[in-house]
Amino acid sequence: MSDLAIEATGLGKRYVLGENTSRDRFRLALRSLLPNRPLGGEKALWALRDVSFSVTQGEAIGIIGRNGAGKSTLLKLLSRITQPTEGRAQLRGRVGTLLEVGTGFHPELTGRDNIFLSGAILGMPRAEVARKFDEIVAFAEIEKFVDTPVKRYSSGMYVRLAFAVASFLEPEILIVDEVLAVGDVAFQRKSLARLNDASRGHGRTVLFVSHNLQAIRTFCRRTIVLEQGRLIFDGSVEDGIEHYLRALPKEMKLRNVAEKNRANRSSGAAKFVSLKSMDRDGTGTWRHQHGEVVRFQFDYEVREPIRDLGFHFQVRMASTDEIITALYEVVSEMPLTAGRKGRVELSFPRFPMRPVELAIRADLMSLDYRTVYDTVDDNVAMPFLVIGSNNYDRYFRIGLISFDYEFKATEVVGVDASRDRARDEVTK
Amino acid sequence: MSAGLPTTLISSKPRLMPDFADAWRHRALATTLAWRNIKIRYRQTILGSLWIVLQPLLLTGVLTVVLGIFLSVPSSGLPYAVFAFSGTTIWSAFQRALSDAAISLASSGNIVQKVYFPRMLIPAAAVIATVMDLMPVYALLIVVVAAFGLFPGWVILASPFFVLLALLMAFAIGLWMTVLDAVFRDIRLVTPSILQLLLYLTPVMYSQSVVPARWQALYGANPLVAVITGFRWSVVAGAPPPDLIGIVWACVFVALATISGLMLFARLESFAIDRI
Repeated sequence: MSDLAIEATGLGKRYVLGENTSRDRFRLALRSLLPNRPLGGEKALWALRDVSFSVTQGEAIGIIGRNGAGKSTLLKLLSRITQPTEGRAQLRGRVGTLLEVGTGFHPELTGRDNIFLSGAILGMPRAEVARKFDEIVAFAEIEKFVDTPVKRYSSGMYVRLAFAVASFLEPEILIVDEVLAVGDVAFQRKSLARLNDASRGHGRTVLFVSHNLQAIRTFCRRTIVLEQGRLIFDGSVEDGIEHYLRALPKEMKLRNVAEKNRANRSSGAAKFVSLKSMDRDGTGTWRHQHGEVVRFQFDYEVREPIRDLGFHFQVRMASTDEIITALYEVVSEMPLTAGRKGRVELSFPRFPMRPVELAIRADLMSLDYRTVYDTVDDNVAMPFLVIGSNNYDRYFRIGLISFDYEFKATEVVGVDASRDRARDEVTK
Repeated sequence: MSAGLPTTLISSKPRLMPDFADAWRHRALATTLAWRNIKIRYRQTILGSLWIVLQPLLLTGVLTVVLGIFLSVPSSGLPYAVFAFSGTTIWSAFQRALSDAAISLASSGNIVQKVYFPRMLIPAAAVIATVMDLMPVYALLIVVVAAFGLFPGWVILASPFFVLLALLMAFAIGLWMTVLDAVFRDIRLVTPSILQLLLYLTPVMYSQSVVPARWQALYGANPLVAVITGFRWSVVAGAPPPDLIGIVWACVFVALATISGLMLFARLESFAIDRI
């Protein structure tokens, strides 16, 4: 087959851990100068190992996997930002990379200057940028601010401009990482439509990493699932998502999860030690059915004496970060001593959300809201809640939520007669 | 069907030399980055790019008063101000090119870790920015030289050669330093000291004739000596010519430093970028 756009064979990337001292670095730097001497002996982490796949021109492929599965490393290797430790890949066509919006933007420069700079960095010739300049500005909706330094932009404007520049690139292969998680919903939709157009309309090859399974579903026809640096699935989108969801842990032991990440957002006086999402029967799962029982169970531990304890819970759209609901409950109005343990249980008898991915956040905090003791959410690798449904009614698929409602349809007999009577009354 | 499309090969094997074809395809980026460097350097300044001209002028002024008038340092029979200005013009270009190139890779960490382009363009852009800086100073130098009645005539056409030599030298050494600086920030700390020492070891503020005869050979081993002497000779009438061996040595040095710098860069860039 001659129309392969990407062919990767045995790709692997190893990072050496614990080379924190300059002496370690010096030794490594010297060693890397020697030909064909593999680095060894040090503690090493394979961020990606033995990944092989090929992509036909015009395919849109979604790459999914949990945090740390190697998705970003794979994209970085394919876009040549970092070099593989082993293996090789061949890419046919210009490669455009969108790993982070605003790459190459400089805050001191105006929108106009940044468009040209960013375009050049992404590999667009100046004349091409000039030709598309007006379109880019219009797409980003920043007409009035073209000559203002971008440091004065709102974050929304910044993101819109950055995506606009990148999306007007016309490489044969486009590599996109989670960029759609930023910006407002309307702009996200617009951006996704643009990517879709590049792939379906113009036959470009797109590699797309996202946590947004819905976007993967609508946009890709094939997925690659990574887990702990290995490719564990390559095939249809539905099967891939199934694989990914099955690989999610049933219960999260939080004792050692991202302590550092949690510590800088909270005081740590009380901590979640495990959390579990369960169905009606208490079986741990992150997949739930619309209209069924959804239960959560959080175990916590008090580390330092606290005056009181409150529990906060939030449900957001995984794709857009919009908060769907939040609730707050008192756990204890009494002071708690260090070492106390407890459990918070939360149950939704008939979960109202229609098929969607949801991000969950839970906090332990003081009752005056002043001190957050601990926060867990997708930043500490908490999986998204995936809601499915067996209802295939097409009207059911429109909209996010089912309300409880009552509906009545009555056939009224003798309509014509009553209307005539009404007319009579008027004419009287 | 995919004929004509460029093919990129990604492999774990390190390259011997950077990918020149790729760098050439991205050549417009080098000037764009250079232009960005300049724009950013003079943002929110009142005098803006006038500072480019003021810096060597101030240095020349101080040198003229202290060395020229107080100490009567020999200046090859030229008015000291002209002697010093011609020297500082080329010296400050070299100095800025080298010190900017040396820190360029590590300072571009946020871009380099997010998008790929030939990384060689980053130190190259730092050097190109210096060319843009040099232009107005060079123009002013010609005016000053002419005002002193020392316009050199056709020889001036040789001056770009010496400028090129100085900047290539800065680029070559910069390649060495910037890739090492990305891993060990020690480099950026020692660069100013090394440059300062080098300034005293090149005939920028004094004539080479003050160097005792038995030290001349060792002194001439500094490849910058011939470059600076040559530049001065090409822009000021009556300045002593550089010796041919010195120029050949400077060219050989630049060639060796460039080749080794490119090889080191190709070998270490990926290692360095993972560790910025």
